[in-house]
Amino acid sequence: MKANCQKHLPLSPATLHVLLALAGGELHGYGIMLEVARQSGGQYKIGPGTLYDNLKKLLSAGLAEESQPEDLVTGARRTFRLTTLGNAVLAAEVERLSGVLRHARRSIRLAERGL
Amino acid sequence: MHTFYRRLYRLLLRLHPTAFRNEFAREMALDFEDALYTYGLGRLFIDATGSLGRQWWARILSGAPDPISAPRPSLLAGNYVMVRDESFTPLELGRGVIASAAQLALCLFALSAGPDRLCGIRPCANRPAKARVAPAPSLQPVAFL
Repeated sequence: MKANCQKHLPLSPATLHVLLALAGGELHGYGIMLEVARQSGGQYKIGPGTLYDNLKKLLSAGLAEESQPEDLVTGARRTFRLTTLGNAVLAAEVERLSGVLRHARRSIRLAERGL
Repeated sequence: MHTFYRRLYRLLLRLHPTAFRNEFAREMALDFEDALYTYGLGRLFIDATGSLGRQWWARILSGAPDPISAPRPSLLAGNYVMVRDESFTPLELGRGVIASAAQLALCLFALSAGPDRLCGIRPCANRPAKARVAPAPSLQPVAFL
């Protein structure tokens, strides 16, 4: 599983945000867009083009899946959710970013002491 | 006014590769409606244009045949006849562009030159029209001795 995760890393910011949004549960497209904006405090917004470009990649890589198809009769929107592999990739990416942050903090501390 | 932008956005969606359009265009149109007032038109159109470029680029790089080229039953029964079921490679596209440009240049040259120059006959404007044509030999009665 770990080897499978590593080949997807590092994730682009948009992919990371989409995975993070889906980690909270099933969402439809506009729900993902709103969740991404909410998570970043409104600083990072993705449009439908970027969203479905990333969703297409996530679906084909098996990191996300369709949880409910679109229903034209009831008007229910198509929703998406993370797969087990998607969860594992997200966890691996967060771990990688934590390492980067640790290293960055240490470098900044050292630079401040040197000044 | 927003009807115009909606149509324009749908036109952008229609320009996407068929596989992507079939799978996501409807959702994208719905999300456009939802995000119209919160995201702003400019951001949504820039996003859709970027998506258009990315999808075609991915489509060209992958070289996967477009689903539209698969035989499909027509409304009037029977099947469409498909000449080619594979996508063109960049090399084939380049050859096609060169061949088309060469043919176009040849046609333009032929139109500008006129039929006389093409046949290698150049009419001389200085000479009178009569002088250009050699007089036909007149028939003389032959006297038999």
